[in-house]
Amino acid sequence: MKGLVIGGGVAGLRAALDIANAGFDIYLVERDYSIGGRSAQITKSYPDLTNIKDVLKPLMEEVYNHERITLLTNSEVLGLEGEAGNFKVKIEKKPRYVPDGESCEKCIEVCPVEIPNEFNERLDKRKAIFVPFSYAIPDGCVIDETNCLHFKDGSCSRCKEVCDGINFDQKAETIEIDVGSVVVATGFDPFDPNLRPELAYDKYDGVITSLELERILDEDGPTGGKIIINGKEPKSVVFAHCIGSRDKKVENPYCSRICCMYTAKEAYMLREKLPNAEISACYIDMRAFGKGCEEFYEEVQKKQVLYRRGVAAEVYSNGVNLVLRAEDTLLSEPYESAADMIVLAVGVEPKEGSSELAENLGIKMDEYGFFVEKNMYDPVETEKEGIFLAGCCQGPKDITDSILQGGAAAAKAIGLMGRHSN
Amino acid sequence: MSLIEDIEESGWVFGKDTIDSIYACMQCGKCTGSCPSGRITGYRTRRLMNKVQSGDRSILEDPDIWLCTTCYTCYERCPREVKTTDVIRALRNVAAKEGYMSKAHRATAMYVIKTGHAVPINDATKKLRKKLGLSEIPPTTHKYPEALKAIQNISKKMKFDKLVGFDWNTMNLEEREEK
Ligand SMILES: Cc1cc2nc3c(=O)[nH]c(=O)nc-3n(C[C@H](O)[C@H](O)[C@H](O)COP(=O)(O)OP(=O)(O)OC[C@H]3O[C@@H](n4cnc5c(N)ncnc54)[C@H](O)[C@@H]3O)c2cc1C
Ligand code: SF4
Ligand code: SF4
Ligand code: SF4
Ligand code: SF4
Repeated sequence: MKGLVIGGGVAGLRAALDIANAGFDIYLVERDYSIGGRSAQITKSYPDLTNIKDVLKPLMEEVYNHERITLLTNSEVLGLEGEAGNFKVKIEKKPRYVPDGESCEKCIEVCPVEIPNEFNERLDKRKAIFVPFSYAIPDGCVIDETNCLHFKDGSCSRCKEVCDGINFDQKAETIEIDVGSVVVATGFDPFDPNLRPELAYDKYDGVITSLELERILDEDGPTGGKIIINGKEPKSVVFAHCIGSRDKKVENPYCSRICCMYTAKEAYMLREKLPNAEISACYIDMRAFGKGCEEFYEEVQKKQVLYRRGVAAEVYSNGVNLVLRAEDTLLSEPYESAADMIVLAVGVEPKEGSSELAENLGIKMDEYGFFVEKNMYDPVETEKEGIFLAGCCQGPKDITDSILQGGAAAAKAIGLMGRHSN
Repeated sequence: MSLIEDIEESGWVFGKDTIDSIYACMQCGKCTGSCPSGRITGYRTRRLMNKVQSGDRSILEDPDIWLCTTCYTCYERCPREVKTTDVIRALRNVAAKEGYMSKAHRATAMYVIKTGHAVPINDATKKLRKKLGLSEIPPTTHKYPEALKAIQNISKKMKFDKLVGFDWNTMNLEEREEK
């Protein structure tokens, strides 16, 4: 009996590996061009500053090289029929147009199309033929057909002129597979801060999201790891907690669980790069509940990161600096912080496309769009037998918790397939 | 009666749910940080919400409760959807009933009873109206004395005149010891 995992972030990778290592063949369906998920956009992890690449890359490679795992990237689940132990799943597999591993990158040089690079949170550009990120898997180039001129109007084939391997005639195919169980691990999207217009995200380049800062902190990122905002190094930085979380006005009343700690981590990393800058964070309550997290929070404070209690109220420019206005609720006094860079700790939202997937699989979503577990005692099962949940698609969580849930979902899937195999 | 119950009664027009939203306040300070009045006065919206939440009646005599401009910015932004501005308006009703009302608000009420307008017409407005091709006097109580009579009757029937301390002989505010 075979199994299916949907989504190749840390949760899905863990689940796929664990099921495969138990002796079942696994299909891993990933919508993007590479596996890795959001964690690949992050440089280091709290609370111990683990280099994410050091752990994520081997995990990705192990999945890619595993003889029991069939990896389908650039692919999506279109429908599911049947029942636990005997699902029929329809999958659309879209072409990459370039053979895996082809990466001399001459094609990238000649491609005339430049569009914002999603992996770098649109801080730089990429071509229509591109390598998704430095340690993407499958490695090598892919063509993004929605932006490629060949597919738009046939006016270009420059990449093909420099690379014979490229094949524009590849077609999307729909395949049908039989599987006994499904693990859904489709992850999350960050909150769109434009829904809080008083924070002026759209208005000023100095107001960035935490995920943009992750890219800026990365040596492989758009600035080569240099902290540059509006052409210069910032002298003062303010982090704003709870943006798009704990906020009924944007219909996200829940806490996103990760942003207190990833902000502490980003502040720590920023301090290493900017020893003399003023760094502060405004927060409502500090949630540092994970193992080692409270201790790390203290360490960050000792790096002279000033924590001020009270949420960010608004951002404006006085012509020289950005200004963040908030109340220091412990002093009962409003204050204004001049800042060159304001980092919005955006919350966790359900992945775009979740409702279509829920419909295709016949599983439920909660009022926010996260997939619903069966109950608190069966936290990785859904009401539909044979379909399990892992990672942020079920609700906000960090990498460790996502991996834990991936392992738990795998155990459930293995048990179910074992029962049905006998 | 508890302070909240008093506010609910005085603010019946807003509904109990609106007033009870105060219990959801998480003391984040978004309101204070957003408040235009707090930029130039010592008024702190969150602190006010905190005192209402804890039933602290001393706020009824706190002049700060009259410093809100009812701009509704905090109401728009509050992440817990506390109906801040409506709570403040209802709270002022309670304060007024207990004899606390700012001089400025009493003066505004005085103009309503006297002229039917919180801001009666003046020469500058008359000139502007003429320039815009409008009648010098607008079709309000300024033009219709019988409408003004009606407003004054309502004021008497509702005891609004007593509440704000309006003297019908002088057509002005009574001297009142500011509590
Ligand atoms: C700014 C920021 C900093 C962070 N820092 C840390 C940190 O320091 N430490 C930490 O532990 N955590 C951190 N996190 C959290 C971490 O990113 C998540 O815990 C982790 O990525 C969740 O993994 P996941 O597998 O559930 O989802 P994801 O990483 O989102 O992966 C989901 C995968 O599923 C794919 N997918 C989505 N929809 C479909 C579909 N319909 N079909 C097929 N595939 C699909 C996606 O393309 C993606 O590859 C941070 C998050 C942010 C935003
Ligand atoms: S064919 Fe498409 S991908 Fe290739 S160079 Fe032209 S635009 Fe770029
Ligand atoms: S984890 Fe912290 S920053 Fe994130 S929503 Fe919860 S309280 Fe706010
Ligand atoms: S913004 Fe709302 S929740 Fe926050 S302190 Fe003010 S009233 Fe309370
Ligand atoms: S409604 Fe009142 S308290 Fe709220 S922001 Fe406006 S002036 Fe301040």
